[in-house]
Amino acid sequence: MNASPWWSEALFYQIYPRSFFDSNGDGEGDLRGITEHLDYIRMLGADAIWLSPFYPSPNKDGGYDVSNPRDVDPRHGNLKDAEALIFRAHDLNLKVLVDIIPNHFSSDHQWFKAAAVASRGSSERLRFHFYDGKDGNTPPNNWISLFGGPAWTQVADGQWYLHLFDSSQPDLNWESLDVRADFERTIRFWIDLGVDGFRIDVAHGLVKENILQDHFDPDGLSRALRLDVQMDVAERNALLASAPFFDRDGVHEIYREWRRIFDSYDREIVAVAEAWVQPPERATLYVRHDELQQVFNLDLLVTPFDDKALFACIERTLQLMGSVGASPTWALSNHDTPRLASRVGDAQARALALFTFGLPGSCYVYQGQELGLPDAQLADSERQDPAFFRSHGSQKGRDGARVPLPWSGEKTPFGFSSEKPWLPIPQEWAPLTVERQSGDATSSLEMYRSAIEIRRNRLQNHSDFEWTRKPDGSGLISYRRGSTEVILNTAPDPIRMASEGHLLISSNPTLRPGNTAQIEIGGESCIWLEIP
Amino acid sequence: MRYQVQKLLSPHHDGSELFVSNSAPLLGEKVRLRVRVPKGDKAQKIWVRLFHDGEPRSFELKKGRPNSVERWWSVEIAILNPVTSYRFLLVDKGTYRWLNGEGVFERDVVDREDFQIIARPKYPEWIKDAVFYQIFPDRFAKSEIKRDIPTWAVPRAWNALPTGRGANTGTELYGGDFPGIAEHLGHLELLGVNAIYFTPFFPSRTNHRYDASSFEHADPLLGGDEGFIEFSTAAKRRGFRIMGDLTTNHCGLGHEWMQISLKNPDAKERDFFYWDKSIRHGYVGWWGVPELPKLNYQSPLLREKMYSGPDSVVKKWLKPPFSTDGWRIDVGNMTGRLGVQDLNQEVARGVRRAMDEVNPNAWLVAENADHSPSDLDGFGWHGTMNYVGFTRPIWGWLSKSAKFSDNFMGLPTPIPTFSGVAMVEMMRSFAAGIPWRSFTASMLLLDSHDTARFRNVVGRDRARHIAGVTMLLTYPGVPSIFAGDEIGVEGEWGEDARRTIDWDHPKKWDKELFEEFRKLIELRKKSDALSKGGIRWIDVKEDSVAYLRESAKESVLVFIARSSGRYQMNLKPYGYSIKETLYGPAAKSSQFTITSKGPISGIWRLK
Repeated sequence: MNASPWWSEALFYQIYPRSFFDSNGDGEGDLRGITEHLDYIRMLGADAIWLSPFYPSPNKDGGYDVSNPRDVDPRHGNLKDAEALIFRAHDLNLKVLVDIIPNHFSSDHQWFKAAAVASRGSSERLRFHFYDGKDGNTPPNNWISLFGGPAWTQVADGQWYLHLFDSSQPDLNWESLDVRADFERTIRFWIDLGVDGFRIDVAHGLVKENILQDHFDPDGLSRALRLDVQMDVAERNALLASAPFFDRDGVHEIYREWRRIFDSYDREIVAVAEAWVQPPERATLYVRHDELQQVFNLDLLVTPFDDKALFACIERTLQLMGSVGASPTWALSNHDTPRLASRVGDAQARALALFTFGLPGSCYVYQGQELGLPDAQLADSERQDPAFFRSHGSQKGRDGARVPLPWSGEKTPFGFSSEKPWLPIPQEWAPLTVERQSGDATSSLEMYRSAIEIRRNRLQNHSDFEWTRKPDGSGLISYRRGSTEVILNTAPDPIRMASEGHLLISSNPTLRPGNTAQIEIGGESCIWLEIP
Repeated sequence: MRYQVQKLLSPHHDGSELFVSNSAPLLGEKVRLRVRVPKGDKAQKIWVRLFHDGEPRSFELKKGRPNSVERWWSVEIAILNPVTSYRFLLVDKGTYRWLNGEGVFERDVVDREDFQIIARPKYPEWIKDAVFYQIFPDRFAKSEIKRDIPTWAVPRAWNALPTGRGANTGTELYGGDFPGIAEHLGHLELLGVNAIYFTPFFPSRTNHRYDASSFEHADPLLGGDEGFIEFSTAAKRRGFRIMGDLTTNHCGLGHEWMQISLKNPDAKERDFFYWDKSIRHGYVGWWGVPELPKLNYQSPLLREKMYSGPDSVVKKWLKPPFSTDGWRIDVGNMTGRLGVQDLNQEVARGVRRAMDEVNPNAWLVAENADHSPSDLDGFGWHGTMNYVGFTRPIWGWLSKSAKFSDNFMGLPTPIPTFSGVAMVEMMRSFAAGIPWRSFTASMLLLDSHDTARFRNVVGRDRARHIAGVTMLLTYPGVPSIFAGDEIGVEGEWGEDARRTIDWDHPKKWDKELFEEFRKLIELRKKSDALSKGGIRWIDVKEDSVAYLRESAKESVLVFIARSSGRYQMNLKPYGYSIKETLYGPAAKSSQFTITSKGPISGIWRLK
């Protein structure tokens, strides 16, 4: 029997470097700031960090527009800082995952600069998707960018290039051998520098099909792709499955090749795919034994705080991943989605976190989630997300979830920086700082710490999961792993129940651990019981 | 042999801060000189003998209180002349000895190796912590940008070897450029270097660009002025210093000055050259090469254009938006010298004055392969490329199976094999003849675009290679690493050494060597003693050498052996013991033995 790999039950902490900690007073977070505060993440109980991009970038899309994938943006430090960060993380027993963005480069990448002025059909242009339009002013097809507006932009000689995201993010053509070789170099570069793996951005998006055909419902598809648009689930799924640029079978060959690269190293390299696919079964294709190890379960990011919906989402994920022997991943928020506390409410956010921490698989916590941060309300003049600008303000964008962390003190920017931060931190966050929450048993942070510790001690590697309460109209759902039972009350009212167990932790801070014959589980809260 | 190994423990003085209270005094200021004299030395009195207005004078040093190993003596002297030469007279019972830059002599000595203090403003401080990385722009990295290939060029595939020594030697073009270099600044940061020395980036008709067709612009093949500014801005932001390479001695035949002069006999630029009808092509060229017309500094207009005018070449590149931090001067030794004419000092001083006017923090280092002390009086070049007092002695000591070359840096002989004693004698002799400030402002290098790669000199023996790198980064001076050395790029002579970096196949790199480079560079930048300390040789043998680097804050021991053996180290007579191993074999206390199966290098912090 092989022991479970480290990542199968790991807690990953996602860092958005620009907003974590500013060590040099330029208003933006940097790698040194992260290195100096890794002990905070260790004390939270994380097993690994995932760093959102810190590569040189004109920053048109929060660093996901990379102009040199094998370097560090000077605003964030340099390669030595990256190496020091990895070294310190390993010292603290934290694994390090970095983001890799294979769907597109920045238009500032020298490949694209060369392609823009190269001739039609040249090898430079073949690295991207350059085509002639239907006519002089009409792009090759009717696809819509995920950030709104057409997915095509014209260059001087009249050809158009494809960009599923911002026009500053030209999509790469994965049929080009140059592209494949360059990513192999990038992968090896970071592994050689010490990282333990990768989070693959838009992993389902690399291969495009029918690129010279119009889509039958580009607007519908565009809305289906937006997490902030409410839509009938069946309709959304049908539209998503029709996307000619997502989840094409050809992507798997790429990951098989990557896996061969990973396996050529004498330590385990892990990769987690961001792949939002329909039908959900298709997600399992990314984690076949010769491809990647994990795929994000993005459904949970949009599942409402509702017993039936949560049960269905979790059960489906467990079934799916179980069917291929992969470990599930549980993420409640990330840098692209609204903050959990704003999406479902403060109490619900804590309850949901506690509920998922008990599940088999690995958990991802996005920086600030442990503090219960809400989305910051930003004036439009302060926004930076291209989604806001490309949609002319109809999408507010993701800046609210990317506001820097409040560390300490009573005044904004709460120790994040000695200068004005790149996005303002609301003064109302004074009670939410790391300093204020540390040691306060009723705080969100301390609940996360306790839960993660109990999870580590009691739950990890217990495979004997079973549901003990399925949705029955009461609002309660619960499951058991080993001698721990996890109960979630999604209803607004408290529910009193007989208990033979010992209360280990509650998302409702007024309920303290201890032995009681009766437990009143508060409305919209979660408890863990030690049971015989 | 002028000195014996056992006499290394002897009275000592050098130009570092422990011995000279102010190395950059103004005229009229006073400077305290100190001499450290080991316990048991027979000196009864010590006098400093110096020149005031050319007349020798002597002043007595005061005895300090002795400690268990030594006694310090000191005296304050007045600085009355731009250059103050001095040496110490050690008066013993019935006889005397001299202490000068080369050591202690029990006979009279001449003034040539006297210590010297220069009454001039401070040299740039940043060079003390600088580790340079030499980039030959055509060969470091190439961007994707398509550029029109000029007619003179013979394009080569990036990873092809230079054919070298043929008709196309100077015209094989690999196409490296500024955006390519910018893409790999991260590599430089990882290595730890913090300054870049570019061989020329001017437009020309060769791949080496020592034949500028203009000094006014960066070569469009490299990205032009715009490309340079973009690069310089990015590099500055990341904390790099940038140094250019200027041929004050000559320009290219294609240079606008020469072209105008050839077309128009009345052109004012005619005066910039030496016209001579007895020469086949009608003018003097560097080494008789017609493509490299020699510049004639008798022309006031040339002096103005080159350095003294407000928009001179020298000044232009030091100012924004180019913002370079210094100049390396190609064949600085030949500049201004032709036959009876010798304007070398005038040009050197003029270039320096021009630099001081626009950027007093800029570094001026001349190529001067066979250094001449008179060129380093502190008023012209800050320093030279230390081939003679560093590169050659180390090649001679560490070379191994380097049978490839019948040419030892310009001499018609293979690379010789020196003993450690000969190497150190050579190094001390070089340092003795020049002011300490010029010595420490000179560039240290193991190789360059003009030599074989050091890796080949040491027969690809990594441990020997590291021994050389250890010396490079622990010796007084400004270290410079030729791009590619750190990953084991090879080359058996200058042209062959100008190989490209194979970015596509980092697996082929010597990663272990890279790691050692990194450690040593980091040590160099962090250590106060290594960046500004004096130097005392404490053990010099056939196969091993050891020296102390000492500043007011820190003392460091460096030991290097070129072959296997048992090496005993005794620090007791110096009052030191090991505080901490910084590099190489662990050691403790004041007496220890290093046993090694091969070449070995060690660095220790002392207490």
